[in-house]
Amino acid sequence: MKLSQRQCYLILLGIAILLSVVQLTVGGSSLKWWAPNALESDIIWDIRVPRTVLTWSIAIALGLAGAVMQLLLRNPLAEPGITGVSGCAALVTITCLYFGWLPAFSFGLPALALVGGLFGVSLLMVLAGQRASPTRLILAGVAIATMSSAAMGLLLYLAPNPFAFQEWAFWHMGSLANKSWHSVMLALPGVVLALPLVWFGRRFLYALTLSEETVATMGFNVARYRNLMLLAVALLTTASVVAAGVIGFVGLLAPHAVRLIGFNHPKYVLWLSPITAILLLLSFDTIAQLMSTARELPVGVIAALVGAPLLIVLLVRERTRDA
Amino acid sequence: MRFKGLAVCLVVIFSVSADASSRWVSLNQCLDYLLTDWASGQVVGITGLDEALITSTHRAHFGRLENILRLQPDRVFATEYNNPKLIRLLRQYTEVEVLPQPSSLARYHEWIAQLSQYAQLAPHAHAHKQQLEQAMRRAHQTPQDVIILMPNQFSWGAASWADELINAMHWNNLAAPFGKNLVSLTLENVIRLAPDRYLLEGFSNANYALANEWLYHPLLQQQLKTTPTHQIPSRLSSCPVVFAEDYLKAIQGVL
Repeated sequence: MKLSQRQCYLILLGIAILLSVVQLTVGGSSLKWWAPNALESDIIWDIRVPRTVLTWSIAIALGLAGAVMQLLLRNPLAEPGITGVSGCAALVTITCLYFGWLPAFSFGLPALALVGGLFGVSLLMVLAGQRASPTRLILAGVAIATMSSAAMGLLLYLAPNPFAFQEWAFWHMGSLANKSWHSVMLALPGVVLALPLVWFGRRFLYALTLSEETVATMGFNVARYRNLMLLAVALLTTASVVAAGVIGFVGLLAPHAVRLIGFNHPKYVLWLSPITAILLLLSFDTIAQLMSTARELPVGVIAALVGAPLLIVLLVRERTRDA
Repeated sequence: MRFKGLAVCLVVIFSVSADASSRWVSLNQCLDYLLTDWASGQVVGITGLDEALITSTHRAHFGRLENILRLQPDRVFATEYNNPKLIRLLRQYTEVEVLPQPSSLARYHEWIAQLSQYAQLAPHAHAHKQQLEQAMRRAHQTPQDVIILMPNQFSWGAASWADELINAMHWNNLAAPFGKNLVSLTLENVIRLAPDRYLLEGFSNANYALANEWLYHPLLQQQLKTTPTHQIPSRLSSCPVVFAEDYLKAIQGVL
């Protein structure tokens, strides 16, 4: 029996709610959930609930950005993290924060980081080209990611900051620890602004399974729609980066997980990816919190541990197909 | 008899002048502070981590073998946390004294004993010990629960230098049950511990750092506003043993 998109969406939503409950119950201390005292109530509403809300916001951003990039570039390996788009957004964020240009919770931060995100995604388009092979896309992405990473390292060493190398590593691994409603407020505007853009361009993305010439004959202004989708990707990527750093591979994993459960149509890939990303990020963050390490493991480490092998499998599959 | 007396005098004079003309190099920032204060005339090289200490007579070597050898030291002072490879290489050219890094009062006494082997350092070392003991006797105060917060969610646990000083004042270090020496705490742990006093160590207010992020969480900020909070100056927290008396005062909030 094949499930409809709505049925599948509801099932995934149910699982996401269950996982959110699990994520809420793990933490540094045990709480009396039914009758919390004032202190426990503060912990619930100021530490645990913002973390779960942030997980949802960032997962929606990453899942949607990954799906839009894969559909737009017609490339199953496209993802903001590994293509360096997140790195470019992080570079601008780091510059603003570490040189004291903006305070940590300023709304100017996502606005400026958007410039970095837009630069990254535009550079990727220029370097990889419209119909780039997966290998070319990965090479372009590696070049951008390496450049942004090196620039981040240089800036952190130049900035008046005693933890340069460690900060560099933290920005690359992403974390949901110690976040508050301020971080949620940094992430939400980008997601809220990008959603209508993606909705507006959804038919264009579905149509991109055909050639661009065909898409143009269907009445789409290809250049305009493409730029709008790039803006949406930059908004989504920036939203996640300014709030939690670079969390790679979630944007890659989510669309593939949707395809894996049998939904190959671009429509399903686009709209089921955010909810799948929520499931993934909730699971990764719960594992990160449950793992007994000296400090809480950054969620990006778990995402990379699961995501990197998938990337290798996809590359091997591409090579086999080419052969 | 007269000749014997003269010979003893000559030996003392030569040993003192030889000691006074010896060239010492420090491989540790805390030793930079200590040696430039206690035996300024002997020190020719320091790490350079505190630019304020660099002078024409106290040159910075930045931990590079070439720079250290160029200073032609007779003795290099290092700590057990210095790079063993660098110490091994230096031992091929000069004497290297590796001092313990005191993390408890017992190790502090070892440290003092080792420093006292040197004529120029001995009186200062004894004075340091006496001053700390007096400060600890004076510091007995009303018992209270305290916690030290540091960047990267760290705190000082049981058997650490800070813990021993806190215990000496009959205070209770709330991070002690979490383990020995450097311990890791979550934001929730700290909120739930609800100490009578917060001690902030190693945070720099001027610069943004992810390492400081937990300090700026609104819930912790709210607690810091309503609970007595003292910032331990970074100079003291980087060398809490060398500046033991001031470090103790900073914990008490009287510095």
